Amino acid sequence: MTDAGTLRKSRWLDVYQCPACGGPLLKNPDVWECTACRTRYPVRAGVPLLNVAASHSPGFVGVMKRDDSQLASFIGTAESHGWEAALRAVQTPGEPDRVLEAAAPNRVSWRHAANLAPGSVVVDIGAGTGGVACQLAADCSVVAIDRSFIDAAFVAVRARQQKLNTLDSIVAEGSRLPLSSGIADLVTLIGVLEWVPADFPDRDPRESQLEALREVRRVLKPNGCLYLAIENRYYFGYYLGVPEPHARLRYVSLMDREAADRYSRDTRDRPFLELTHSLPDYRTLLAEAGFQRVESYWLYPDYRLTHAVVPVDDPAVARWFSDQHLDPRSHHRLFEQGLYSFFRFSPPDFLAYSVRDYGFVAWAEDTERHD
Amino acid sequence: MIDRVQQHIREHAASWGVELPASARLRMLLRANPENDGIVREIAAGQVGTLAFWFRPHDTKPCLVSKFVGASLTAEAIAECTNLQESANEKLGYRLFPRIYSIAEVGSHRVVFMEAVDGPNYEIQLARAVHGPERSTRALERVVAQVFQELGTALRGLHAVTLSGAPVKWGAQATDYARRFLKLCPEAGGIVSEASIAATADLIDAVALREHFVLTEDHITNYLPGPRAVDQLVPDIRGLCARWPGPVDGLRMLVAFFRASPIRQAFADYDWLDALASCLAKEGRIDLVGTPVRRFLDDIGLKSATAQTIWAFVTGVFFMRAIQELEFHADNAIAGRLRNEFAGYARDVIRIGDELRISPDGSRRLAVSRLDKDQLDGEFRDRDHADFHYSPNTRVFSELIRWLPPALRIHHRIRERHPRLYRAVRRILGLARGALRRLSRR
Repeated sequence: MTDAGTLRKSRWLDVYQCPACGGPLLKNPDVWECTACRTRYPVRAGVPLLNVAASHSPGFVGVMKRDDSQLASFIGTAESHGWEAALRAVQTPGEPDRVLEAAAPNRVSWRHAANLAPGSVVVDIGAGTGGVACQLAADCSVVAIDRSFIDAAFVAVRARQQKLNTLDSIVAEGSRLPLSSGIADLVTLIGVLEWVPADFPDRDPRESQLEALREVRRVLKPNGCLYLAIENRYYFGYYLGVPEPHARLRYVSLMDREAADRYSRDTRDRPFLELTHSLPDYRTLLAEAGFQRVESYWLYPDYRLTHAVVPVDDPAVARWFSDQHLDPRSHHRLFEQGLYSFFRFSPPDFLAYSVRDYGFVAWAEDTERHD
Repeated sequence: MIDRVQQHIREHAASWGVELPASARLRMLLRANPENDGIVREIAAGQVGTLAFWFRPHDTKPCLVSKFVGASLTAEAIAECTNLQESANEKLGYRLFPRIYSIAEVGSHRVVFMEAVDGPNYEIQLARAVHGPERSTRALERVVAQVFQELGTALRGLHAVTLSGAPVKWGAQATDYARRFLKLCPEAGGIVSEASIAATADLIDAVALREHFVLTEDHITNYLPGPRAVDQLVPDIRGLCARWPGPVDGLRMLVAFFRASPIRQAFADYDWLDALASCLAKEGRIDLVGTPVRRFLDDIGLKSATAQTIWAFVTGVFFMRAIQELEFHADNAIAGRLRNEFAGYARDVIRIGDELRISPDGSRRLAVSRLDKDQLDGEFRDRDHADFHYSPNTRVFSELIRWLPPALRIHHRIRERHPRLYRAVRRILGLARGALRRLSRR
């Protein structure tokens, strides 16, 4: 592992609090200490571990690599050969190019929908390889949070190599954020909310998601917003046998929750916790979490590299987009031609089934912001 | 940020002639440039930025567009481009370029507010005609005819916006492009000789050209949305006009058109250069591409030029296009394959040029068109008839559209409100299926 001293960060954003008691944190170079409850949080390779128990998770990098034994050298490679070289080293053949994914400007093509102004404070939960956090840090102050130490350390190295002085990378839990209340202009949850229940297998999965959203609501400024990107439970492709991407099981999201859980336990010895919802259910969930105004979008083609952010509250707009912008070459195989036809020629009622990934901009209060 | 853009729209819409509802929030659709996925080297992406289409509540099409432009595009450059666009629109007698209402600094962004243009662009239209479920040779014929007719008319009008009255020779530039191509693509080293380059330059220099306002986009296929152009806000408009004088501007897009993936898919058995060459034949069989292309060549000022001269221009433009693609994909994994591909095309370009030199009127080689729609690729069958259910005329899945939405709604309602009934019905259906299976075994 690289010498922690070389990665030491000179200045941290003034937004942190103890995740255990909410007390102020004393930020020493090698350890952060709560002045109220005296809990000590170690700092490894310049990354404070505000949730030590979960920090061993292999994270997104581990998922890419498929081999946890080599993770130890990953941060060393990033430090010595550059973050791009490290990502190339863990690239699995046949999978999307992870370097492009981490650097592509379209990772943040939604930022205008979230009304993000330069100088804002952004909290990116589940930062992964920093595709969103590092780009937003070009003109915003960003707290990149991940539960995996490998991911968080990687983002810290990347930020340092890209000279992003306003980016903090920390290890923490999304459902217990070590952040003071009312500090963020924007919180991003991109492909994260569906994984939250997996950390609390004994609790009701929907309650776990709701708690995470309430925690997000807590750290938002009164006129701040959440950008949530997540899959549609009733995506048309799932009816045609496309496996549900989290559980990797066919039809599982279409089943009622009990049946899905039994099916999941039978086939992969795990409960089905990776809950996705329908459009009205997401809106209900966000409303229950205390968000006053919710704008819903169809993220085309997906929430990773988004080419179009299409409002779905008014089906006529999505219809116009389908008619004018959908290119059949992106749907060239026979199965995809079926999907393409479905997108283009289905009536507005079908929109709820055409959309694979939804994006939600949920405002803490129903006021328009004029930065 | 976006709220301030909306505020700007509200404050100025009346002066632009755009009616807006007094209080309702406008809907916004964001369109990012797919090139910003990072797959290719960023050339235009920084300038293109993000488009926001604004919709009034319940409107079926956008009422205006705002465009966030990159820092490389200065206010002076925008003003110059806007003036040229406006004079082009006046000369044409119709609005080829959308009206630019206003350019404003909002937050830290420069935002251009412009008229919304409706209709899919040619690339989408072409892709639907070739790859879409409604694909048919007749659809392709319609799109190709429309592309070349509209593009020819537009270029004829743009040529009237002359920037320099002095005649221009393009041979030296073509020579320069050929040498740069050979540097970028060493695989073509033994194929393109100095003699061929010189002969091409001589033929080009025999035609005096004029500098005029050009279409700045490289692909006609993704350029003109229906009958209207997109805007041409680019940093170095004068430089582009100098580099692409006279018919070069049109031929750039002709080469790009034949290189476009839908066209290559439609004529999968044919090389695109042969396809293009066959279009130059004066006495070939009428086919779905040849006639519109020949009319287009007339429109861009090559009516009286021989096939040999036209091919010399095509050769120069081919080198220009090849350089552009090779540089665009320089950091990409396909760079090596692209070099080999272009070396092969260079061989064909030179071969066809040599054949035309032997038979200058093109009659020996080009008398018979090789593009015959009866011989199109097997997958590309004619589907444009009333019985075919994918046709946009008969609507896709017309029966399905009628009954599936209510059926799905009922399905979900029963599942969510009456889960026990739902499970019971499924159980009964399962038992019935099992019984049928057992019966069929007996």
